[in-house]
Amino acid sequence: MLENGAETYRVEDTIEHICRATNIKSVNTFATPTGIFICIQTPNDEYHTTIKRVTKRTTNLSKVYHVNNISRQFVLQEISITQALSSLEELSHTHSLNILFSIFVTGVCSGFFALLLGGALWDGMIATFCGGFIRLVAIILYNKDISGFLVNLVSGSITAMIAILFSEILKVGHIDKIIIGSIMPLLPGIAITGAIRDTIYGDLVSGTSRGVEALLIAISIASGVGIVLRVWLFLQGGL
Amino acid sequence: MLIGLIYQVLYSYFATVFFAYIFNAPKNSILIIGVNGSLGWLIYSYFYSVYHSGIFRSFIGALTVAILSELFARWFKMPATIFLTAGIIPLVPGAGLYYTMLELIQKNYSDAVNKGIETVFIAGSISIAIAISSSIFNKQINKT
Repeated sequence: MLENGAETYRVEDTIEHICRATNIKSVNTFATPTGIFICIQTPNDEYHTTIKRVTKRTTNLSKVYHVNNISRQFVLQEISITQALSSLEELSHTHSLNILFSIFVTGVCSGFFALLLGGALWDGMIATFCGGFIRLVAIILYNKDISGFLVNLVSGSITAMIAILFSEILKVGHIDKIIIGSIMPLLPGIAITGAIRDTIYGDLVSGTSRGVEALLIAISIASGVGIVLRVWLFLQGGL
Repeated sequence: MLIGLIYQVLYSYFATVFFAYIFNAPKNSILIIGVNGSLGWLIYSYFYSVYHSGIFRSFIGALTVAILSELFARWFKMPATIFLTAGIIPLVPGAGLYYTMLELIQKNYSDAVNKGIETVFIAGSISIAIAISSSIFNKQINKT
């Protein structure tokens, strides 16, 4: 669940509910965006502790929804533990988005953002192309195990390059609308909402770590765009 | 004016819906997420004609989205996060971030600080709106 963008309090809650539904005496959990700690006390006073490290974090809301549903049904004793485990197993094998579809969707999303921010039709079309392209680049880079910071930096610079190419050299579209539209899908909207919700539920550790994550993503995108624009201004002999 | 408004609603609807696809939201919730996002944007752009304060209207827009997500969550028996994460996206100050950076590289530091502080406050007001609605709707807050 944590890998797919649920808040930490929801993870802790789920674990506690599941443990209460079985015959376990007491349970303590501590979840952060990078790991889960669980300590349970069995009826004959034995303690078992387990730590689960969370290494990759993406957003897949339908997995959150399905895991939530399965655990709810299990707690209400509508399904047995074997059924629950088998449906979880099934869920973990469902692949995430098709790559082509995800590129298309990201592109169209960028295009609509460019239009929403007052861009003309051309801006929307260029942003669609640009958004799709940087998504493709990001997928390739992530598959090569390159850190998220660098991926965002590169995506930002490619966005700026494409925007400069179209608006300054080919003279179609507005540079600002294209760039803003294309970076919208990269921005850390989820990290911000997650950080706030975690903080008000008292999970200060996960709140601050997600906040730092959001800040880092924003800075890396901005510097990626900034470097290219700065070089472009320099080449034009400005400044 | 009216036609412009209709376009705004359509654009924000589709932007949010496609964003929901990126997050791989459950199929039966995607249309609702779109409604959520475009209502938030509608309120946001309506308050633009009333007050020219970006911070205030971001707050109102985010509050609308957050409250609607909690209501939809109860209605459709899904976690509120599903509606909230995608619905809040059109309000995220991407433009503010870009203009801050633009002023910075042009060495207009005072303008950059101006834009930067506004961006930070917009992000803050969105966060506060989410915090308010989540606190109201969830009594579990007492456990802290």
